[in-house]
Amino acid sequence: MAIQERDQLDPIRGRKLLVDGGPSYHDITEAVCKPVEQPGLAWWLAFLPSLAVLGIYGVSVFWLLWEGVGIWGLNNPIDWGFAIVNFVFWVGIGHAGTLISAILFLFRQQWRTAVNRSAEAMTIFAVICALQFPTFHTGRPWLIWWSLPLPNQMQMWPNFRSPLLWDVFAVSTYFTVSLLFWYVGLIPDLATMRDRATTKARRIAYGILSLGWRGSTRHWQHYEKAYLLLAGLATPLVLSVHTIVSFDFAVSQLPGWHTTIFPPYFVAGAIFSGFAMVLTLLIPIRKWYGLEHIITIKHLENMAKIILLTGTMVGYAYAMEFFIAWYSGNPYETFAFVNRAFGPYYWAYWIMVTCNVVTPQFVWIKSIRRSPAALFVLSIFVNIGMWFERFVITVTSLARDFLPSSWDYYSPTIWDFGMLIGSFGLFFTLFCLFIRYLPMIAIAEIKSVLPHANPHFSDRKDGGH
Amino acid sequence: MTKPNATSNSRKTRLPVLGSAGATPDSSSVDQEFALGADELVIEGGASRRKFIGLIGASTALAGLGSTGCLRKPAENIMPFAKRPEDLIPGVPVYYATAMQVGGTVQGLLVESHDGRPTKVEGNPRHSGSQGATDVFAQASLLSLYDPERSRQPRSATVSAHTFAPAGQLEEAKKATTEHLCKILHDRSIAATNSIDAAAQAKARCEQAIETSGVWETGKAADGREIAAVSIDWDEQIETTWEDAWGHILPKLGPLHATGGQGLALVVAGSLSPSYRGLQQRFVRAYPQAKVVLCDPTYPINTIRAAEMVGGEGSRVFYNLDDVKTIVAIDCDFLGVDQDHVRLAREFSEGRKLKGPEDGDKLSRLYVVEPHLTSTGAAADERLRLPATDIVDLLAGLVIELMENHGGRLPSGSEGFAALIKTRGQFDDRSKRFIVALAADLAAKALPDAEPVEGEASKRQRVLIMVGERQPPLAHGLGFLLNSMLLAATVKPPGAMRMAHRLDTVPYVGMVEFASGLEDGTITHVICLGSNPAYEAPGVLELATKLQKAKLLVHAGMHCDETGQLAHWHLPLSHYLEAWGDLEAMDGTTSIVQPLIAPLFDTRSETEILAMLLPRLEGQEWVFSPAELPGASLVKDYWKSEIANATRETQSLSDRVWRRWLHDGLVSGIPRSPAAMLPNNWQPFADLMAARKVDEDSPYEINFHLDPKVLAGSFSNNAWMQELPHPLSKLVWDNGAYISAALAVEIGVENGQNLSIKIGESRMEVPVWIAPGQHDKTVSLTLGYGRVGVGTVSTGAGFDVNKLRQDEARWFARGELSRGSGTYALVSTQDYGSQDPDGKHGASFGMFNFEPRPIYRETTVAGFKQDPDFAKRGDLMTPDRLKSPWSRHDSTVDPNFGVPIMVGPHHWGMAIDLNLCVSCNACVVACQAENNIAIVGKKECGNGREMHWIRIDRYYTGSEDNPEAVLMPVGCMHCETAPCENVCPVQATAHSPEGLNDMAYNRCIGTRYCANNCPYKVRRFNFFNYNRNLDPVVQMVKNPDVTVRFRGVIEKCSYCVQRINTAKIEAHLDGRDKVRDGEVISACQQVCPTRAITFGDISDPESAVSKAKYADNKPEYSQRQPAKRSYGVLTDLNTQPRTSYLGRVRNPNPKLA
Repeated sequence: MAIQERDQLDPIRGRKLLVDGGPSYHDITEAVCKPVEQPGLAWWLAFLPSLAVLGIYGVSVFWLLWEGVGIWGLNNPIDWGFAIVNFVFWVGIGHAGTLISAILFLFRQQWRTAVNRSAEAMTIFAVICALQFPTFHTGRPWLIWWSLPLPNQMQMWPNFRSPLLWDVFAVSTYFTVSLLFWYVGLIPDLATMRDRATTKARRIAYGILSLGWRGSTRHWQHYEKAYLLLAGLATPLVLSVHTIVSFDFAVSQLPGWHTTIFPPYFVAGAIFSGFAMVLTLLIPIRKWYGLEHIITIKHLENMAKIILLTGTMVGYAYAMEFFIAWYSGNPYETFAFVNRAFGPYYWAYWIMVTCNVVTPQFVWIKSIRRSPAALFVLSIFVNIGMWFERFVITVTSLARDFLPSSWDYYSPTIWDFGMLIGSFGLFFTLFCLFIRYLPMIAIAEIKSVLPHANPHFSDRKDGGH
Repeated sequence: MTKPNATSNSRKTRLPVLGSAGATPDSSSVDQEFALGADELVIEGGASRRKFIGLIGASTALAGLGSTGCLRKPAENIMPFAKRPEDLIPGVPVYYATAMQVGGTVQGLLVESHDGRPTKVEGNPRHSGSQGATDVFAQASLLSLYDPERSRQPRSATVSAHTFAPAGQLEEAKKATTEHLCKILHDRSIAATNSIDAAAQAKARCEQAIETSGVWETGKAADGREIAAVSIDWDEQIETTWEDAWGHILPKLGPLHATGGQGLALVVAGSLSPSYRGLQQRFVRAYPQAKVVLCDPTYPINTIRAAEMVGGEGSRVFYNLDDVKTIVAIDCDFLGVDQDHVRLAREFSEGRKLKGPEDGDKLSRLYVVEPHLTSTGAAADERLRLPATDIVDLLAGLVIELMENHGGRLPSGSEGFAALIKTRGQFDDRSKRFIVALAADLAAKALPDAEPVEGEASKRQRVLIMVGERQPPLAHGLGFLLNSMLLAATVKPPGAMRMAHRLDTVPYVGMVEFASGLEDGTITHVICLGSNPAYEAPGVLELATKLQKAKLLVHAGMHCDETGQLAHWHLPLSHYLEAWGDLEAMDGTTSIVQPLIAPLFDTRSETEILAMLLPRLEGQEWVFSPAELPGASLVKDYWKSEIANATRETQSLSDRVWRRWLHDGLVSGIPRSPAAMLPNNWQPFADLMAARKVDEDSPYEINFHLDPKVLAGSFSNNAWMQELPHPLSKLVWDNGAYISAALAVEIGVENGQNLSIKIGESRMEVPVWIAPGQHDKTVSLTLGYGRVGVGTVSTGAGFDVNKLRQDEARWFARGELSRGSGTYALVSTQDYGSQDPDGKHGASFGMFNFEPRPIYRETTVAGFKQDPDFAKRGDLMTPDRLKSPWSRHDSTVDPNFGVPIMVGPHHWGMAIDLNLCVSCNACVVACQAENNIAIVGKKECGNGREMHWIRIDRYYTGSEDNPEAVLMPVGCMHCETAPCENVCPVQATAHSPEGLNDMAYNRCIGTRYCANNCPYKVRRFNFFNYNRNLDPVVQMVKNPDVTVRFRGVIEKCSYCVQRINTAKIEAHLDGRDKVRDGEVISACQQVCPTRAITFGDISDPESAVSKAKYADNKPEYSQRQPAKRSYGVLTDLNTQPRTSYLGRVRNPNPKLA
């Protein structure tokens, strides 16, 4: 793809145009609704393999419940393996959506409108994937509800000192707020879908979901207020969720886990991986559905810059961990970090460093950050790197801790991989269903950032129309 | 591999028993009824074990019914509790005294019985051989009792059947018998193979066999009917009854008895049972021409041979370590598997106790010379790696050094021997220095004329040279000579080396003679009683082949083992907990072995079987009666006659005395060891010395050892033992070829790669396991593995190294080593072993040589004097920097806010003295037995999922060419600020008011966060449901006081909370609000032969554990000063563990530094 060196400018604001090609409102509606109303072959090509991979997940979960977590490669020192790695990985992915929709909304970053809907959907699906793992990794998953504070006659109560319990609250709150936020944002577009529905079933379904939206000024006023409030509510959650996930590690006393840098480091890493996943998803979609004028190179470029920023923060954290381990003078701590880089899992560590620290630096090069193909490859590397980051933290710290007599090596089994790969099936299946049944771009919002949505559009010197 | 017990047992009720099956239409109504009943009892292949077990009783009863042809009431073995038996409260365990033999060791036991079911073995405190402790074998013997693969009833490849027919119709009867027998074999084949074709073939083979080689017996029944019986040799063994077995075996003994037992061989294991040996003597008298063969690798034949050389027939030698200041263990694993290891470990530990540096001079010093690092070697103060072949030279060198440089005087009569003593070749520098220093040490302490050496105590002290069973008699002779020179060999206590005289010896012959007798046909009838020559005999004798030449091979064993599978008749033996017997320890302590449970299967004891082989005098005639004599009366009758003999018929054995013997577990009032004497005949050793030859051509030495887990195979089908980590290598479920790292480089092998070993013409491949401390020119192999067809546990575990052995009395041989082909997955539970407590040599972390990990803390006697606080030196944080999480709280403001108050009346704690632990592993198995710990198998151990609640960590220290091993028992530390507790989301693990870190299995959802956060890694997770589908027999081993855990929950050491609660309930019933010190004994503490583990209430300043842990007796334990050697592991994490360790103090010879 040829690289656009110069972006068009908005005639009113004088800033870069957010939507290319000067489409009308109707053009936008048509462009966004088309994937829902006329799913092409591309959708099936994406959906069916996703469903097949979801099947792998189903088989893996069935066998897990039947036999027990012994089917995984866990052992005595390494009691957390792929499941927790996957959990943290998916929760991290789930960060970009709410960051884009809430924080960028509060900061009036209007470029978010092109990507926020699908990013939020990604968040919700990623959190759904994430929630699978803490549930299924327990020895007796059918009792997972014991971690909820449910009043009972036996006066059994969860342990509020446990970071795992904080996790339960943090992730479920995050999921609930993200879902609400996403749904509220969807309402005007659902009404559009309802109005364009050609079948009765669609009319009823979209009709119910759009909650009687008629687009009156009063509706818009309430809507804007609710959206703003939810954005305000979601913003701290973006920071808190991964902070608390990091507490699972930081609150324990294991060398390599017991680190104060974890909260900011985890949040940065989460945003890093979340944006990478947004790129991974949107770059093919904008191409397949002809949405390149809405999700433009500028959007990709902005996200790439965030990846560069957060990737560099993550790299800083890696360096700082080493510095503190040495500076602390604690032999266990020092050993844990040297062991990471040069111990039996050195390969995982260097994959992580290569993918997470070296790869983002290519974004400095303009031709790369404006090339969807290059960014797509880059985003895949970041995804891999961030998965390995969690692997390195979880597994290498556990494998060699205080007493050398207990040291062991973790070798994942086919069922570990089944759950990991299968969770992607779950994620992509949900995402395909989202593309198929919901407008993947916020129609109402994108219209509001068109030049002719500007009240001053008709004041232009060239007259306009 | 076939598992005869597992597969073919299912058809056991279809017995082709002589007289048990009537099939002709006109047979009597009793037979008809029985036949119908028997048909109903047929269990098809794959029937559940539960059903099978349920049917055992019924089938036994029916078999008995058939054999006599009249109705007999089956024995009632159940105990209806309509009226509660006296002294028996359901749910409250009862203890019975009994005893057990392991090799040459006897331990007196107290066995816990829950409602008639033995559940735990403890040591009998009154018995000298156990002194309240036990070894790992006694612990594991419990599981052997409940081994579902034990042999359950007699088996034979000679199958027979008979039928009745009306008078005069003999041919009809014969036809019916043929039909009947062939139908049984046909049905059996269907059940086993599920193939009609195979069954039809079986039937055809049966018909052919009857035709060609069937042995017919015909006769007339009392009512005039014809009886036709036929026997054939079948191609597999079939279960049968004792009546059938005796019916076939006893008739063959009559002719043998008539010829004085010409051609008869009785193959026995070494036994310390007086009554059984008495029967053996009667056997010898009854069959003077017969041979009694000793086949028992665990029995100390070299030691006995040497003792008999020096003291005459019947002489035995044993050691005593009370107050011995210098102990020299020459290839003697007296803390592991050698004779009297429990008693010796306890006596050894008494000399290793110390409070402060001032006790350092009182500490005994242990020198160990051995090729392979054993538990004893790990406990050594000075250890010399030496090939076993060179040990005679070392002893000779020691004799010469003592005579030449220290004025050692020879015992009278030994001059001729002494004149011949010489060493072969040159010693290396270290050995030379070792001999010089050791001789000086011994001389200074024990030689009466020697000048006191500066810095050493001038008073003469007791020393002892112990030569191990692996060494040939010559080495023992040199040891006797040294002990005599050093005045260690004395007649009476306190002699460190004592000799006793046994009157009831049996003239045993060796395996070589037995093998040649079988070969040349002079032995034709073989009865193996509790022995397994086909497996245990040295491979070069090829007994497995030669035994098949015997006309009659009868085997009695707990399993249908390698010999049993070859035997014409296999008879199942009872476990010692099911049988009456008696045992006499080497020092003369005698116990009655009383059964705790009726035999689970249709088994007999060795005594009972041997009694059947002896003819009984009826009138003027010697007859062999099929009427069995119960073991109880055999044993009691023996002791009646003993007491009559001992008192010259003036007294008889009263019931009161008998009951006291049973109650105490000790036989008292009978002098059974009449003669104690000194070594006096040295000539045999002079001959041995003169004739000594060493094969110098073969470069390497191959050593055989009894395995510290399965011995020579008696525990190989015991899953506790298989899963128990080897004390040093930590291997589970296998044996390996232990070689040093240097030898591995020399040959070019790595862990798990096969090593080809060649001795003479025998060659085999065994995977390598690198064992630091092994001599560089030697390889060590352990016996007891590579079993065939014994059971599912032992199948596939390890390698049968008996194949390489040349002589049952020789435990090492010269041979050749080379790199073998292929690899084998050996599993060790401790992957990493290197650590360096003193930081001198650097830990083996490759290029990243980190600061040492202060986990195991040790010093020397001199170091302890220099720095009495050596054990505190490893702490990264001083105690004053370790603030309690609640230390900032001002209790004057709100006395209760947030502060966890341990309000219980007790505060439980444990102290483990690393100076005493000798890694005998007994605590690991005791814990497993007490706490129902699951077995996970080799694969899961390889996955790092072993479940032991207490483990013994092993670290190597020092240089690679002279490494030392340190061993450290690790269980849950019961941290006061436990890291596991605060991370559990559901509070499944929480602190008790008494300071226990409790685990609520029912509440656990299995997040395993606690295990991650435990710095000691003592928490164990049930990755699978390990207790699913447990055989009903195995289920009986479970302790009813402890939960059996389900899949998906964490478990860990509970400080035996069930024992704590039992003691508290008893105290409560007693009207006390506190438990007294010593009333709660944890399973690991109870079993420990060295008393390394002390458990109790630390809030009581006078309790044993408080005294071990603390230097003063302030009422508040948190304000007491820790004892001198006391330290906590990883206390820098502020875990405040309740288990503390006492640092080790070695007592090396300063001259060898």
